[in-house]
Amino acid sequence: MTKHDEQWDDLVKGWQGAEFESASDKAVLQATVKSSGNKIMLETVVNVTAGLGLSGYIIFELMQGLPSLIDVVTYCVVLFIALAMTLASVWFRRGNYSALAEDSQSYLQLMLKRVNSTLKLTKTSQLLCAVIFIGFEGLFATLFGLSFLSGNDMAKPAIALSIMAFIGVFFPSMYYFLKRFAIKVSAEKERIEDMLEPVSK
Amino acid sequence: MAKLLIMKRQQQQFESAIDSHGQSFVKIAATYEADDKLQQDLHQEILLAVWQALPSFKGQSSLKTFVYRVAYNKAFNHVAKYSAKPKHQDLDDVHVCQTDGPEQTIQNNKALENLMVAIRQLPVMQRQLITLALDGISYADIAIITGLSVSNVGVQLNRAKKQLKSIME
Repeated sequence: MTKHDEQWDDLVKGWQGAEFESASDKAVLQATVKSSGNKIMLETVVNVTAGLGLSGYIIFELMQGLPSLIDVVTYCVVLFIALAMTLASVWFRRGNYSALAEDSQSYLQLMLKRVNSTLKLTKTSQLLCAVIFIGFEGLFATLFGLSFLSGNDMAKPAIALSIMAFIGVFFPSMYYFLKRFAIKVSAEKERIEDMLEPVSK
Repeated sequence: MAKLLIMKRQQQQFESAIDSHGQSFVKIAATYEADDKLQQDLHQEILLAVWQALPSFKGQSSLKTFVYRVAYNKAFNHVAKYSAKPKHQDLDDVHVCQTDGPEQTIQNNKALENLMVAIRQLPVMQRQLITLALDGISYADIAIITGLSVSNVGVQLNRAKKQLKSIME
């Protein structure tokens, strides 16, 4: 046995003999893990139920027929957001726990693939936000102008102006949030690439 | 009824995993996160991931390799999300239980603390190979867990050992 092997054996003995402090005893750990699992499941169920409920109500209202174009557009925006949030809650849950039992190399490849698609999705959403912002602001500005000029019902320009203000705050905020998120995801991608780099199959 | 049986089996498998590998999970968390509080969070996340992954365990591999894969993959998630490079830390930050006499304990703890700090300086994949080897996992099982070939495990592990030695010196 070489000196190098002896040193390694000493390390193994030290490592296997060491008892590391655990956060709490087994029963408490099990209870915590179970309740965390249940909590995540409950959150997902509540998110999905609320999202589907809201989407169902909006679709019902749309099918009944809404009084004006402004109402239709507003309901469509809310429907889009509700469906996106429902899908996101299911997607995040699936992403967290599926495929965790893959071997490390495959899992890292999968992580890279996921992070790449998240990055693409985020950048597409950023573009969509900019397009929706410009399109909707233009549409409501036109509606505001037309209804203001016609002067029949002074409530309509006020509604158009309120929606313009909402869109003016919501979409730029969303764009900024997505931009920050894309920076975070890019950093995550770099870290995964670093993890994959040193060892090849 | 079937659901109850599945739950009971999941419970038994989880208890068995904790009994056999509970210490390994704590050590994995300790080698992938230097910060004490985040280390505890990672430990909890690993346990939660093992609990949630157990229903998908079909017995194609041993429970040992299954839970190790889940634990390491969770640790990789943590590294990808929170830390770019291993953090340098003081030796006092490593917590080890005292089981021997006071003098022996101090000596053992010092050696283990040095080892732990050195392991954290290794690249993530080498850290995995070293900790698995230190846990006494066979090359064949390491190959299943990491996805490397058995011969490559030997090559990569030797490289990791050399690097660990140079860090410790």
